[in-house]
Amino acid sequence: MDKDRDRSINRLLHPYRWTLAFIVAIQVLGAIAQVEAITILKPMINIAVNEGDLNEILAMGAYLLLFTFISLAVIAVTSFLASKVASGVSNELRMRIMRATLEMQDMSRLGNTSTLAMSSLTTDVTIVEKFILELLRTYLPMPFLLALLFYFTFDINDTVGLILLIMMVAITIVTLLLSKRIQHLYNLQITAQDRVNNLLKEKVTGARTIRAFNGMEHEIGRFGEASTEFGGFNRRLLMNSYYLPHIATAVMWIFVIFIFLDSALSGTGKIIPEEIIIFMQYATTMIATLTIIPYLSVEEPRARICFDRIRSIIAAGKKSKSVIYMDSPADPDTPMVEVKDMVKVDTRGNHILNGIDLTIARGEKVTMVGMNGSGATELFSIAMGFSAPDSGEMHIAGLKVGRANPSRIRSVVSYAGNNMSVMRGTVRFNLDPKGEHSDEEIMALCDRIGIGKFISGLPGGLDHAITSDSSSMSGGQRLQMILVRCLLHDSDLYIFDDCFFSLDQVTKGKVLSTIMDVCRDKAVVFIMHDVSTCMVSDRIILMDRGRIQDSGTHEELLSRSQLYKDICSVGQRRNGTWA
Amino acid sequence: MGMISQSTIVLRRLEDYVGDDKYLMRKCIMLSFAATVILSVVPYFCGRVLDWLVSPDTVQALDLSMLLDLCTFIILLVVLWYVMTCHSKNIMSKMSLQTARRMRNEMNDKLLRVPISYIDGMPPGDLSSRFTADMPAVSKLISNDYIGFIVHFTMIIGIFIMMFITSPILAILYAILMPITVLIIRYLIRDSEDDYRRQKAAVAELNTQMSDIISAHKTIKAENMEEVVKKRFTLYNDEFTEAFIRSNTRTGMIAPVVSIMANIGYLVTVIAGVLLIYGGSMPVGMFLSFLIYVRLVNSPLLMTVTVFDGMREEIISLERILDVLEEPDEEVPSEDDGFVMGEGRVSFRDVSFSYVEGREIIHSVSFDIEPGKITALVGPTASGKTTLANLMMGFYSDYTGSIEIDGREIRTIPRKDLSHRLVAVLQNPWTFEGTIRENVLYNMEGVSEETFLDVCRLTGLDDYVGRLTDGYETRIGNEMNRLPLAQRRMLAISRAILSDPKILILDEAVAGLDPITGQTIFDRLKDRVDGRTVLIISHNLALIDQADTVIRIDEGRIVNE
Repeated sequence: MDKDRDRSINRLLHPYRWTLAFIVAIQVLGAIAQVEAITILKPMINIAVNEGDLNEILAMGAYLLLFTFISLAVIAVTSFLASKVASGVSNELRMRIMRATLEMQDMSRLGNTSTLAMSSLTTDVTIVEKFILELLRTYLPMPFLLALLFYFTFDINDTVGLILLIMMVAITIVTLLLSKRIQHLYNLQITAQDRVNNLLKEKVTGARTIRAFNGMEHEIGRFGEASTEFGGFNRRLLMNSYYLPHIATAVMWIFVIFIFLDSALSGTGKIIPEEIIIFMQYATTMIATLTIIPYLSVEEPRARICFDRIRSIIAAGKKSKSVIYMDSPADPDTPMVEVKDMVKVDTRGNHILNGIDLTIARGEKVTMVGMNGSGATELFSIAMGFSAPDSGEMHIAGLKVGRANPSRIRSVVSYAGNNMSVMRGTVRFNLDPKGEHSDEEIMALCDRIGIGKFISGLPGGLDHAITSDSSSMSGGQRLQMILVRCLLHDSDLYIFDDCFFSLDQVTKGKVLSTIMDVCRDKAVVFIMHDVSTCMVSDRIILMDRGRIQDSGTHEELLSRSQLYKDICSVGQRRNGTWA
Repeated sequence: MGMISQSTIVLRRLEDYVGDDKYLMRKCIMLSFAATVILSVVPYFCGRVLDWLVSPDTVQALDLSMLLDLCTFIILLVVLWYVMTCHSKNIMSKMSLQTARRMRNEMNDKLLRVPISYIDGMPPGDLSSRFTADMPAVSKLISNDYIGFIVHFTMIIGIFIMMFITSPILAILYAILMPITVLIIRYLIRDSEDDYRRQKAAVAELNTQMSDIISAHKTIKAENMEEVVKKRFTLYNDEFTEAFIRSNTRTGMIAPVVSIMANIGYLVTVIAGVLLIYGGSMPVGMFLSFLIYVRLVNSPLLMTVTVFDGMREEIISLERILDVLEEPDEEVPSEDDGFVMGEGRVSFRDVSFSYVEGREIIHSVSFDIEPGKITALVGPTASGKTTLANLMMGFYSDYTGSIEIDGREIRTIPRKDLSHRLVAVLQNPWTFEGTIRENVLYNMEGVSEETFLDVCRLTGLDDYVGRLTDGYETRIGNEMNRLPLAQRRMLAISRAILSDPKILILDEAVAGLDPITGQTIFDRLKDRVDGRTVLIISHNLALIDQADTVIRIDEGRIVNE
């Protein structure tokens, strides 16, 4: 686990290795300059106190100027480079989160709302980015600076140097121990924060239901609990973040003053003021540096947890990609769809598909009809690569599902269903995402499907921007757009998964005749709960609880299947078909 | 300056949320100021001791007890400093966490009170990024940076005072650098606010893209759109990075500039101090004290500007949060005046409505829904059926004409009086994170297990739940881990029936269910809702046939009844 994480960090920083080496090099230079700027005080004060040569003081002043200049240059260059590295890494992390989400097969890995992925994308990445920035700017020069300071303090007084070293080790150990505890707290806090975010998101998605059920009080109560819990963790974290650094500062102060008094008062008769002054300078610089360490105990676990969260999303996306796909092209001589003994069991042990064998020829029009949960939708979800079967084989145009590159399969299949969505963007983007068709083509199809009038009535026409849950579009219009998008593709197989139910009868008739015209030489599968497409199909497959119960023409099934008769008769009560 | 005053205005708005805790803030600033002064005494004292030691008049005989006394005194000072600092931080964290919680809760309340049209109008990722990205930033602003800024600033002032006491000349020399530093910083940040804003906008855009990737996941795959989506995302990601680098190369220089100025300050003080010692006008001990002050002021100085830099970014987040919080509430009728729904007659009179101004969708519609009867609202796709249901539910109040329930305009009826009396099953049923049982019994109390199971059986939900290992205790989610659409519909119907409404709206409630299941549910439902006002919105002719009245609508107009 640890090794794994380290490797992924290294990979991320790999393109910047020369930059990092350069930063380290100049940080060493900077540390030397900073310590030299203190050390040079000793002769300066010595001359000043003993009223020596003024020119010598000025010459040393020039050196001091040089050291200061070096420090300045180092600070400026590191902070520029650090921000380049940090923003480069964060850019890469965001891209990886996006790609992983895109490649994920099972979105439920992301939890119950989209907020987890979103807060990773923004908050977590930002925290990691800031940590890298601080690491390179502040924490990286620390070891060099401390080492040099120790070297010089040892030079003046080895006992004091040793005590300082012990204190530093103690501070580091306490910091490490504390960081473990804080990491645990952060874990709890982030879980609480996700809960708060989820609850807020629910207010957005459930705005109507909550209002309709007068759930305000209820929601306020539910949120209050989560919010208080979150606040509690925040408080504990905040307290942990200042007690230790302040204790460290206080102890260091007491210690330094003690040393000062000790060396000043015990050096009977031989007070060397300049020595005490530079000693105090070393000591205070060291305090300033050492007291940064405890802050690491807060920053580091937080960055680590955020990084782990990002990593788990990236890992979730990778799992489904571990297969190496065959990239052979589709074979035009094979049947359109071939399914052999397909079984799919859900997480609770129910058979969704219970041994399906099926062949659909090229150009064949098939209706798969059944009650809710018959398994037809699941069968074609597997074909589209949305889920994976437990056993059995499926070939689409000779491409084996699960082995062939899914995008190859998807390029010969067009799919429309009520689980498809309309995305944020222009109408054109939603109808023709890759910009492959002319306006005339798009609008001609829109007219035939029955939304031409709606689209041309929009202020921007095809360029009108819509959002995914735009209230100004009805459920039917959304489906019509999905149908247009599906039909614009030149595919070999068209799947229409239960996507006519929010269309009125007239529109539905128009849509069906358009489909039959556009796809006249192509294979078409209608997945239906009713028999309205059975008349135009070559074959009807009756599905029941994960099995193919029967197949044949409308008349054949009507004459021999009770289930089919039931489905027909309920639908055709009095006024003919279900619309 | 414009930027700073803008920030001040935003911070003023924040103070409303600090509320009664303002006196705590003052107390905490005083405490940290006092603590700084206490700690600042120590170097001054060190310098005095050194001077006393090197002065030729000092008797060089020293006893140990004096050393011990001095040590005790200094330890006491440091302990006092520690106690005061931690106490002030304690107050600060308590206060700031309270403020943050208040804002968080206010955000929650606000989302419950804004008009539906506000939520509809926001890009989904934008609103989410306000609470996933901006809310943590604001919490940080309140709990660390805002007060941290004030505290560090008081520390700087405290140390400067001590500097002046120690050596006025050196202090003035050092202080000259401050205005220069401020000028340089002002130059660096001169229009970084735009970059911050662009950064925030890009983050919101990235969030929206992410929300699209999640909600339209299957679509993207089915359409082989991965590359298109990646390209869109990369565009905004690069824009964000670019804005970040631009603002960061300039504002990221603020801290280095301060370090640099501090280094220059050190240089100036050392040279000037050494020259002063040379000239004999300054005791060595005072020089020591001053040098310690120069080191000491470094860290609050750096903290102030770092915090200041972070604050400006966070203030933009704060602005984005406050924009939501200060969004006007949905107009709610004044408190309870004892309206009790009678038989449940609904009448629309000359109702016209548009979601977007200038694009009227409902044109002067008038009809009545008879109490205790089943009314069907039918019409072609996009004829305005769902909109009418939304209006009846009181989701939008800016229509013209009147919609009355039992003779009372719905806009004047408190929602409380309508709750559980007027209930709708919507097209895309909502579930929240919780068990199936919690979801069915949303905001309901005292429903017996018997009734609960009875209703779930009626809607067919029970069949499905029976196949789950955890039954009704199975946890489901809000956007992911949901039940299939058909089962969500069943859940929503159960929820609606259990709340025992007088008026029930079914918007395509059984669409997507197979005809057998749909018919069975509807038949059972019919017995159950006997005597209630029911409005069915559907294309389903079989359902419509069972209605007492049919209202046909086309392009936002009544065609016939």
